[in-house]
Amino acid sequence: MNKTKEKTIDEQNQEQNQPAYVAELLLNGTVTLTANTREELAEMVDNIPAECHYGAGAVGRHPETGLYSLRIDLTTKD
Amino acid sequence: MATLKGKNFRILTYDTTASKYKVVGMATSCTVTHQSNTENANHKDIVGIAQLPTVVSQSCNISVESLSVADVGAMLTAIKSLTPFTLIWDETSTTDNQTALGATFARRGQFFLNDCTFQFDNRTNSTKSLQFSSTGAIEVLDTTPTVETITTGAFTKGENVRLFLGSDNTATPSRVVAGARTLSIHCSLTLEDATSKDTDGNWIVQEATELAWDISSGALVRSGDNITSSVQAQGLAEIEAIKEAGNPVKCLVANTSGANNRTLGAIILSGSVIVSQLTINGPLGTADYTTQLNGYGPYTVGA
Repeated sequence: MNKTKEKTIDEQNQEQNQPAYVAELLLNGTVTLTANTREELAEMVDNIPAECHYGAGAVGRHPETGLYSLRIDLTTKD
Repeated sequence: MATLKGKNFRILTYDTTASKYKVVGMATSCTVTHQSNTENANHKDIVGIAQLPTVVSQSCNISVESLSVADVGAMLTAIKSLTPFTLIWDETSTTDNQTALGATFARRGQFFLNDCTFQFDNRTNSTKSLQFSSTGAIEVLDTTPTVETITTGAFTKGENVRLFLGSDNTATPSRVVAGARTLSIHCSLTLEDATSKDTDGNWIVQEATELAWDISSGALVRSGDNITSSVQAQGLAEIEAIKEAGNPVKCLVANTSGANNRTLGAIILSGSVIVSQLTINGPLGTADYTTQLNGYGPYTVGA
């Protein structure tokens, strides 16, 4: 984990060709995804590598902006 | 002297990654209960029959209700980590209501998250209910807590979280419970007193000894229809068959979208359950049924 923290999110993104939110998840152990639609959110979740064990919260919708959000946390596989 | 509003009395948890405290987001109420366990110290050398209670041990319980279920995965991970974490209660600022002010009544302690319930009901904002139980001493805050402000505000409509129930304990469930109206996930940790004569002070120290989880689902009864074959969803007949067989079946709770709200999205929890109770209600109004599913073995947070 310490080794991961030495790199910035952008550096990890460039190295692994993955979205910035995946790097943020790996770096911080948690990330909140935001999108205009549920389908966009689902697509973002699909981009998280299968080897990442993660847990999802419940999709929320902001009452004012209408944006959908989903919190993802790294977890351990049973 | 101004009266403290309940809105400005908040529970904050310590985030070890950020080394800061964070409020329990979108909380609607919280309760802190200090408990002193007493024994009657009256004896025959004392005149009179009035009780003389003496404190033999102390503990503290906290409950929080919230409209945020964004962290359901994190909470389900936290409860099964079987480790306590640091929690405080304090007066919070009236400007952002997240800044802890270090009030004289503010306290800090180690607490197990020992019970959590997430409620996802049809056409209702989802809720969570958390209960914490102390282990070790509750202390006066020696410094004003450093707080990391959190962003909140998103509500989850309960209809967008659904239970998928399998018919056996091997295949990944692909069918939602048809006509579902209510759903709750409940998880509890059994704690036991682990104090001994070596323990300093009279605060109870606890250890986690058992984890139990269950799911409760409520749905409408469809008339004269084989739901399983007609709409590829689980209905009362199928759940009755699962109950009668008495074997565990796979289940998962997930975000849903799409036609009839049956498209599987991000998975919140998966595992095996047995049907422990099935209640069919036939009032003068709409017939419905509730299913109690008890977790069989550990659950997995996510897929």
